[in-house]
Amino acid sequence: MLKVQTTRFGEIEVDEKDIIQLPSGLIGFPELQRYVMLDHDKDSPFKWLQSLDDGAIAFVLINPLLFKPDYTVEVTSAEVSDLELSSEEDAVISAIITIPGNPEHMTANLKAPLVFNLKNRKGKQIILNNAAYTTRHNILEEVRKHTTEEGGAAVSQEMIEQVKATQEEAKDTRKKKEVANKK
Amino acid sequence: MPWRVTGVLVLTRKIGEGIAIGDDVTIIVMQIKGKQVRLGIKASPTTIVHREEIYRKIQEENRLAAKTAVSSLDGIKGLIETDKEAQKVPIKQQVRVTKKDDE
Repeated sequence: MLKVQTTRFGEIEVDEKDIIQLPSGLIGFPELQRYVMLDHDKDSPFKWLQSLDDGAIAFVLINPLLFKPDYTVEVTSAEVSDLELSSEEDAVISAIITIPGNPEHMTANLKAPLVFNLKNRKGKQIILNNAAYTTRHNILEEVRKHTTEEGGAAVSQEMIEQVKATQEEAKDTRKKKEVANKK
Repeated sequence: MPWRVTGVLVLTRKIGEGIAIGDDVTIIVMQIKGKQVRLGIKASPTTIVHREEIYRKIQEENRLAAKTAVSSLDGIKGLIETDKEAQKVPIKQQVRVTKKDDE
């Protein structure tokens, strides 16, 4: 078992067999090559990719099909051999999410998704040539497009207000804690 | 004679001339049309080659994404349905190396 200090989750214990290797790291973070996947919450579409080499670095990942059902990825033979991918069944694709101040504007990087090989726990960030995918794909806009088409419940303004309220509340609680700690 | 200015090596080339980077990469000036230069890149298939601004954009996006706090996810998990059957993104393998002019 490996013990790692992380900024977000405190000290975590990682089983060697759960370690994910990114031999090329992530674009912009080539030296960080070992990660572990952490669940966010039950029923949550999000997962955390926590760096084991730098406890302060972690990324939120999501399966792009949850908001863009027609997303497809083209991989080059070099990428397939880098990951030692022998079957499409073994590949899992995830997108990194960026959340600005307003959660309504959260975006997924569909231009440079992560490809993981379930068999050997190797991963790689690849850059797609498809001009339709950008580095900042607005997730909620996409969700609205697809749910209203199917006639299902769309993301309501009410839900968004609720989210904002939850976040404001959480912010207030934290501020109060900070003030209390400073005394 | 090549100049080095703050870590950037500046070379002047004519059409048909090239630049060798290490043993595996060669850049060739193929065509000059008005303000555009068409460059050919010879490299081993495992070398990643992309337009600089795209690479830079992704670096920046990763950098921003790395800052996400746990609190940013407060309350938003409900905005995206997860009860669909866990589907996997289909992947296609490129049959041949594309010319990349359409990027």
